[in-house]
Amino acid sequence: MSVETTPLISVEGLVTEFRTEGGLVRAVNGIDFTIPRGGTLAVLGESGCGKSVTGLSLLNLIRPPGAIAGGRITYYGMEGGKPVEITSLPPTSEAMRKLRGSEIGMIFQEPMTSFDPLYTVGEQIIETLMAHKRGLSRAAARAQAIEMLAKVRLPSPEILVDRYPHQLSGGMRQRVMIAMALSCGPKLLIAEEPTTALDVTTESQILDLLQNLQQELGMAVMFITHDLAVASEMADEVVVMYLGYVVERGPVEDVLNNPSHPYTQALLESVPRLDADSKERLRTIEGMVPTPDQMPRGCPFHTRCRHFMPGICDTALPPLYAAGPDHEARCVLVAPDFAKEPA
Amino acid sequence: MLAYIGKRLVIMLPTLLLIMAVGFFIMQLPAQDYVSQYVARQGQMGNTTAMLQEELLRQQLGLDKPPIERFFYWFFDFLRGDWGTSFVDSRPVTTIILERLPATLAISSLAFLVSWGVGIPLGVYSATHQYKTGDVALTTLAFIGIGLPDFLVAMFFLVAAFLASGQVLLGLNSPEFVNAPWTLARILDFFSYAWLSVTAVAFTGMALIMRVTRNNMLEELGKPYVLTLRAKGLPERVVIWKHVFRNALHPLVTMFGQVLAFLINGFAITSAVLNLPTIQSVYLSATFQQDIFLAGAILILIAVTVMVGNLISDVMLAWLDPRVRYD
Repeated sequence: MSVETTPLISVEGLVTEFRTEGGLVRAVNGIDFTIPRGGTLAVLGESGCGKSVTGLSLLNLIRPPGAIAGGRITYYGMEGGKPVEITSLPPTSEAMRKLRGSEIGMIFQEPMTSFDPLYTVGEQIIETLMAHKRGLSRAAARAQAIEMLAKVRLPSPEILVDRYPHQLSGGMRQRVMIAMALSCGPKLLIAEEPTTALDVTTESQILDLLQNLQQELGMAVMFITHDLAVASEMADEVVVMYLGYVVERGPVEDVLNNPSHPYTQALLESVPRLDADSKERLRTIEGMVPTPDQMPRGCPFHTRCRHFMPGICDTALPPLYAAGPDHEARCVLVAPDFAKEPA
Repeated sequence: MLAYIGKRLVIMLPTLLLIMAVGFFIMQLPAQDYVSQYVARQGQMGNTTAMLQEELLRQQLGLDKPPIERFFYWFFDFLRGDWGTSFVDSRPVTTIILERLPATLAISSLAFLVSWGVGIPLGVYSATHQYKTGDVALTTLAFIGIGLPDFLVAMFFLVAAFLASGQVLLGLNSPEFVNAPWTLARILDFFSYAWLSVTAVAFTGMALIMRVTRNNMLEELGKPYVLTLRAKGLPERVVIWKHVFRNALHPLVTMFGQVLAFLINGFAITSAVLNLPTIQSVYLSATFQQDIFLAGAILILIAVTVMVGNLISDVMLAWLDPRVRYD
């Protein structure tokens, strides 16, 4: 395969498990997806669906009592095009460490607690640069850190570089976080709920910034979010996760305009709409996400599904059925031969 | 920062005054004083004439005056550097304290260096290898160290040393060296005794430091910033020592405020049990015998070291943590 036709990263059958007192819990249950170079994938789902664990798995940052228990993650972005199989590298290996931050960067939900409070934000960018670039002097690293702070549109970066995290506002901290994650020029940025902790106006500024930087730097972005509006604004492709399974995937307009899985439909209906009649009650999804140690048999969503069919949904896990071009959903309602059967 | 330190020093003065007053009057509370204890002891030994001299003795020692008057005499003499004379051995209190200071500091600073110097790295190791064999072994050891008081550990060592070599390692020197000048031979002899008290005190101290370090390291290791550091691709060594460890130092620095006081007055019971010629053993006996000037002087020394120690630890915290520094 030539460089142009391979994706940037591919995930095949990824299984990530955690050993708990109640037994082995599968947080991620055999998921597949690819992210093309420069593309944006949104991973959508409620909390506890495995989307964060998926992000950390890509960086091989699952630590005991958790571990990647199966599947393959292959990164094709290395200089020279040689694919790297992330899942075959030990999590603590030097080769894996070198990938983190320099090839794949990550930004996190909570910009307050995601910095070490004892060092200036400049120092935290400088140490990242120096951990990856051999022979880079401190002064040069500092100059690059200031340059990165300017790139994320922070005012007076040469002053901010010497500030401590607690001296900055939430929005500024998230900009610094982005500057830090992008400082070594990664080809993939994993953004885990980067705007959840911010207010709405700051959120849209940060999203704009990320889009501009993505165009400018040509990197791919994996956007982990529970927010459908954010997903539709940012992503080309979307993967909807529920209890560690991919339940629906496809181009973002397709999935959000024409949701095929009852879970995606329910998610869309539970979004408040400004134009809705105020007397109309907001629809919520019945029940709670089952805890992973009470994994339902069959379709993982059947315990909360409006279309639950006893004897069908609670017996076997449905495969992903085609719901349109490049659009798949894991529900028997979408199965081509289903309509013919008497319901 | 300097203004802050100055302010703290000024606040110390009324605190010290209060400690001196409260300490002095608490020492007056028992119904008996030094003289009545002395007379009772003499009486037990068959010396009945001592009873007749009781009032005279009290006059000589100034104990007949009302406590409030004695407090002010004591207080102003103290400020002038006259810390009074011990009732028990009639020597100036300052002489007794200075005489015992070197041995006290030698034992306590060795114990401090060993307990912190060994406890901290073991605590970090324990936290970074949680639930592995090494951690389990160290945790077991730490529970033994925390569970047993140091004087009991010292007594185990004492018995073990006696069974092994027939030596009774009480005190800090063999009898022939006690009043000898500090030659190499005496120093070697000192260590052949001192290891026992140092190891006993350091063992329990180390257990505590190790547990505190481990707990704080584990708490910090679970924080989100550690994930950020690892996701940036920093080497694990940098993540642990530059970031997590420095964040975990907070409570240790607070504990460091007690170290100065420990150097003067740690392990008092061990000192008494092992008959060490230290300040704390004389502090205990002075308190029991109501040798009030000696006990009072040591009390003030402890109070000052606690206050200065806390000031030092607060300054260290400000150096360590910008959030404290910029408030």
